[in-house]
Amino acid sequence: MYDSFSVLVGGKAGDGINEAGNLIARLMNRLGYRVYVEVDYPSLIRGGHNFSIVRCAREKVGCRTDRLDVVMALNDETVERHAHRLGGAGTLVIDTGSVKSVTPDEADEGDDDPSDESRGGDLKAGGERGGSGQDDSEEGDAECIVMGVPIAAILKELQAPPVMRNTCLLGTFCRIAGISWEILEDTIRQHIPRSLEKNLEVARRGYEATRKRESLASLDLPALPVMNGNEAVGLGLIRAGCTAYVAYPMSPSTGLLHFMASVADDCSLKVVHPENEIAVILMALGMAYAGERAAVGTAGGGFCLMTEGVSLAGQAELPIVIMVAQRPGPSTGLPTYTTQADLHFVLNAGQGEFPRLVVAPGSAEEAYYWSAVAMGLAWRYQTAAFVLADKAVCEGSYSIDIDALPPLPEYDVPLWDGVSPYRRYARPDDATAAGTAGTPDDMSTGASADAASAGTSGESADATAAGTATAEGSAAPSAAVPPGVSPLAFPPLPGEVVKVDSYEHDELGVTTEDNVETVLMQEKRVRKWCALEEEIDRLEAVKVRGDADAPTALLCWGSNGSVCREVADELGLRMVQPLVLSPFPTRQFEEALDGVERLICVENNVTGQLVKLLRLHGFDVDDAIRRYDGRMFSLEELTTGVKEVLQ
Amino acid sequence: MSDIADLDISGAGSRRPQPAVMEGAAAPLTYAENTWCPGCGNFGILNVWKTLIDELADNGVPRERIVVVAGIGCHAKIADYLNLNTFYSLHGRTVPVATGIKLGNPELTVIAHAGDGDCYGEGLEHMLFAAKRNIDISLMVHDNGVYALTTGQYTPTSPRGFRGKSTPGGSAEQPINPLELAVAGGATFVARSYSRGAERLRQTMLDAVLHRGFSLVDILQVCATFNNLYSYYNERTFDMDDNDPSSRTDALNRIGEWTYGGDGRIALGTFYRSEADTFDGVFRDIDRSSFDREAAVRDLLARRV
Repeated sequence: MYDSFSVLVGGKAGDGINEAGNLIARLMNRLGYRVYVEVDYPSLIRGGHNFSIVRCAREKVGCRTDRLDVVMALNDETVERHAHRLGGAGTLVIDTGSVKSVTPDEADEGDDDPSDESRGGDLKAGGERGGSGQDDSEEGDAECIVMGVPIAAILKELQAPPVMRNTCLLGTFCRIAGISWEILEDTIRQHIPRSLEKNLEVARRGYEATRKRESLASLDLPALPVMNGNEAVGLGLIRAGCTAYVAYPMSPSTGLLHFMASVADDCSLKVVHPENEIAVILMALGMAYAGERAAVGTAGGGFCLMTEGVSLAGQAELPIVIMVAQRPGPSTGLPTYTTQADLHFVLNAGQGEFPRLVVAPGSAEEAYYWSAVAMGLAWRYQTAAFVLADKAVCEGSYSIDIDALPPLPEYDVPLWDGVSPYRRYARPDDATAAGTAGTPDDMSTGASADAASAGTSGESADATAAGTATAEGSAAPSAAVPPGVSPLAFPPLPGEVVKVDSYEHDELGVTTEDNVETVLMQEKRVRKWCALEEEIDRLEAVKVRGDADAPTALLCWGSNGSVCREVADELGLRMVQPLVLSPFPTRQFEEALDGVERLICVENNVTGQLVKLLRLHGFDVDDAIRRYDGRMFSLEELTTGVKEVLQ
Repeated sequence: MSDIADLDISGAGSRRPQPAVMEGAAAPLTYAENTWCPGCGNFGILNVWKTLIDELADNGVPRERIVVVAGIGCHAKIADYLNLNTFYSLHGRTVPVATGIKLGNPELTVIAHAGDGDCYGEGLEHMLFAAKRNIDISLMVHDNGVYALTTGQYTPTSPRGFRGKSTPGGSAEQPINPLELAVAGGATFVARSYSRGAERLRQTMLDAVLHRGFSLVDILQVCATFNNLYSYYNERTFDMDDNDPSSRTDALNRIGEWTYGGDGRIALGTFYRSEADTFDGVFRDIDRSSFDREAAVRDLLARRV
């Protein structure tokens, strides 16, 4: 377990818990810590129980620990549900105006002396404090204490609005954590610029109401941006040329819609929120026809409505990026919680057979990188590309360092060369493909004959065929036109027409029911599929972390990547995480499993959807650890779970 | 190596010759074989297009800027027949596709052809929202009161008592009046026409296409095979010459005179016409010429430190 520090803020919906957590995360981030924020809230606007857990460490983290160092309670339920998770030297901060179940401990004289370091000078390993997820407090050089802050009274006295409760909490947290007032003031100046003086005043009172319990040292690491997965998806899409985002709000994908709308002006984006998800995807496909690089986002329920559009993208060969944010189902399920139960839905949605890219990022960094890849490949291959995320990634906030990522591949979009006539579904590589498939005797009816009959000079037709052949034999990701891909053009094109069709069609895009034409078009789409499979093999489609030579491997996908990496590091295991799930990166996966004797698959679903997918590709799994209550694995839970399996 | 690569894609082996190319880019129609039934009202609409292309060019819309979107149904074959930019969409989904194309490139002139089952049944919500947004597209509904491609069932505009294959005892539902809905939704051009009477239809379609904003033309289009209403329409239709298209109240009154069944007289022409801001106008002024994506990403990240 990485040396880390965790603080939980809890209260009713409407208390601004999420924002309080984010402010604490930003503050810690400024001190050089890597942070992960998990937000837990029910599907309602007022009431209920909300909490936000901020975990900070020197290393990148992406999961929570059960063991907490500070709990900040705005209601009794927070005390009841979370206070027992505090370690021995933990601190429970209560809003004395709203928490009645406990009372603050008497403050000892001199406790507020800044030189008094009750917990030592730096982060302590949670593990040292017996953090196995149990409520034990057997050790501890200091006792868990309760501190009170009269938040409501402070706000009333200063005539500050209720929203400044968060600022007060932030002040309180800083004092407890031993963070200097200067750093706090700086953070408030940057992130709460409105009513600055009032906010500073409120923070000051929160700061002064408590006393120092920890001494969280500033780390010698650069401060990183903190961003949630939804925002990181948006950022990746924008980086890769996204010009339009269309969505209907649905948790947990709504954050992406909000993000894209908020940056629309700065990023020259067209952001549209239409009448329903059917309109969303059809509108986006219309945009793609006109040359706009559109993306859409939704959760499982909205994606149900989109499936006819997915199949249309396959048949009409229109590029589109679809972010599907998983939440527990069936049906409305648990709207604000997490799951990994829509893998096979996304892999199979839409009638008919056509290529699709499915990537499953497990952190904000991966969300950025793979969303950019999805946009690039959707356009290079003119088909649907999915970013399959889950609530934990979409709404979890992470420190993000895009410079630590491999350089983003630049994917060329094969464009029409202007040689008339334009055919939207041209198959210049029919003959080449026949050759690769083992029927070279058919070369005489190849591309050049076809192009010549359409009035093209033999020269340029030969060049096209040669370019295609080069692409097949080369490792360069963006060479020429990939097999099966017809060069794109967009209206208006004087003297030409651009026809797309949901029916089976000929090269121009006119409907056909001819059996030979049907076969050729089906094969064209399969050629794209094969080429896409080669394309993803050039990326790190399967991630291996932990001890890469260990005979026991933890296998996971999506948000479990972070917790599995940490457990693997702790227990000396290998961690294998496929990031691309379609086309399945068979070669890389085989390589990743080289020498593995025992494979344990960790998933957030009941039936083992990754296990099923692997069986389709000839891989078997030895053990499975599954959680399907809508919550992520905590570090301690998964550690215990893996140890039990290995016993 | 992989499951996909293992697939046999050797295929049919020989290629069928390409279909003959149209007689030049100026031809109004493609090589696609026309498969509408003899007497089908769709021919009247297609014939209008043959002259409409040049007329639009005369009015500042060159043919390469025209995009025709079609749904699924007999009407939709027009996408194959027209030698224009086309998007042959899904059943009920002409309007969202047409909207997306217009938003994608507001310089295009987008005309959606739809059927009554297609647009008033499967995709009614899209029409209402297009009207609400006043998106600058035109919707031509081939309204024949029957699902013809699926061989004869009642549609949203079939009269009560319609005996179709799904309602052998007669439909128990009232028809909807799509023009009332369009006006209620906020459409800024609402008209009715008839597949017979080329000059009238041509003028109405031209007016609709040139109108700035959402326009609906409900075209009474006769299905000669499953719902032959030629004599019914010939007896009842008339051209309006005394209406005030700028009056919403007047428009709704005139639209309500015939309820898609019964004996009322059927007014043809433009019921309603007004000017309003268009939805696509919001997206017209986006300038991406100097947009640096890498810099934008760095800037957004910096704001989150």
